[in-house]
Amino acid sequence: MSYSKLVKVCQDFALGKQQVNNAIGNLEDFYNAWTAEHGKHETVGPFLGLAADPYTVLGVHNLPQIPRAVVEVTVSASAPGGNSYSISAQQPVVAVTRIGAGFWFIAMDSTLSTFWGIAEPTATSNSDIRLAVPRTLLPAGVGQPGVYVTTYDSASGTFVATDYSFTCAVYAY
Amino acid sequence: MPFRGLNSRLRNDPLGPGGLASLSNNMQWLRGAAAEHIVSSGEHNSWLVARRCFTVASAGTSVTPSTGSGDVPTATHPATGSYALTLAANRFGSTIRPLVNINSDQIHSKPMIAAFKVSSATSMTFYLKQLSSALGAGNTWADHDAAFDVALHSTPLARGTWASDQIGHARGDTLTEGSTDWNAHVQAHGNMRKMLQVAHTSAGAHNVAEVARYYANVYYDGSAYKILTGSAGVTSVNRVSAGICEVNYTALTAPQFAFVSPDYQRNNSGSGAVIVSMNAERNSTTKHTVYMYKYDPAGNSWSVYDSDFFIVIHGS
Repeated sequence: MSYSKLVKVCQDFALGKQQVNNAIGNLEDFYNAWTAEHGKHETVGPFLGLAADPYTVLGVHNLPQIPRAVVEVTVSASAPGGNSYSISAQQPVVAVTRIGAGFWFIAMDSTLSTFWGIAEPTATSNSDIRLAVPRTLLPAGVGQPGVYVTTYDSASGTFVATDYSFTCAVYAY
Repeated sequence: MPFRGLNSRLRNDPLGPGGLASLSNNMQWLRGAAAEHIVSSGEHNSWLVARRCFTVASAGTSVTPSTGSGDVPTATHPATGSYALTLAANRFGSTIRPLVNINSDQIHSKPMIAAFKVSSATSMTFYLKQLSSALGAGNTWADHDAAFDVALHSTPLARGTWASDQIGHARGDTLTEGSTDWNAHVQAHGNMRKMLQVAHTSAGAHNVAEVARYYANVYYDGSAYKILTGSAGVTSVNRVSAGICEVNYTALTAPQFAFVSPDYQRNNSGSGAVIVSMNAERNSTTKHTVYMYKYDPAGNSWSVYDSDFFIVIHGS
């Protein structure tokens, strides 16, 4: 059913059944359109004792080609006692863990099974030679699914895993 | 409250306050489904969707945005391989997270890498480098010019507020011309349709370059590239030669933007990573070609490499 332009009522124009039916038809069309590539599950799962699925929450973009989360890891070299880092990410990211120097694990909600990331390194100037390499996991269920990111720097002439800030868009299906 | 399918009304069917209220209840649900969009414009407004995709020319003095050229009004080229972008005020939050792809013939014979620096909500710089050593003979990099594509993800903006849409709920309520009745609901339908069609087809498919249209998980089986899984729009892949793979897809309206990522050695051990650099060159409205290189830590050098990879392709 195509969209029907509805008519406003006034004293001399009563609301009839056709207008109401057009409204019902429009709403159904809107429903089909908005849920075609967006999540449609209301967050009632936890209230019912069910696990929430962050990938299909009402309104969230829900396609393999659209990131499920866009993560930023900010490393501060000036922190007392050495590097510290902060994480900013969206709900499907369960945690971001620093495994070792320049080696990070972005743990994702396991409702989906296949993950990959596109990571981008930051630089302080054009003297930095950096490359952030994501590495993904398959299948899920063998430990926590997610994406590894290794951040390499070639300041010494060879690429070595090194802590610095980076971003990573995480995809999944 | 869930979206409820409603039966069509017949002549003499009573509408009733409940029946009318269900219309506005369903509209409220739809507004939830549209939560990742700006109310007034329909523009996407989520971390998950790029606020803007654009190409920066190799010369560094022109930017080709997908839409809304005002968002990235200027680019400058302060030094070889350096590109400074000015971003429009109040369009990007303090946190900006880009995807970058070097979309240039400069990736044909040598790997290129990119890094970025965000200076403020209106200023950021990209640094591009190309391997200056010969393949198989060293790991020296030099600043290098090339055209590149960017998808800028940023802090969501204020979403705005919805107009009131409350049809009479109680027995005795009457339809009036005021702001809380049928006429407001009529307006809500118009607004919802306008909002949908800014960045989607009437069937709900996204149709703006800021949203990727296709993806593919491509693997190398030792002699050829194959699609493990992907969108129906990605029609075929073809190994041109070692480390070079064409990705063919159903035509998209230019400009398209592709972003690629290596995918290899899938396991849970966390070790054994291969250092891969890859970028994709836009060839036409139906094809990108991915160029892949691998770093050899033992020899401290680079070589062409057939890598499994993921690709997402933006376009409208």
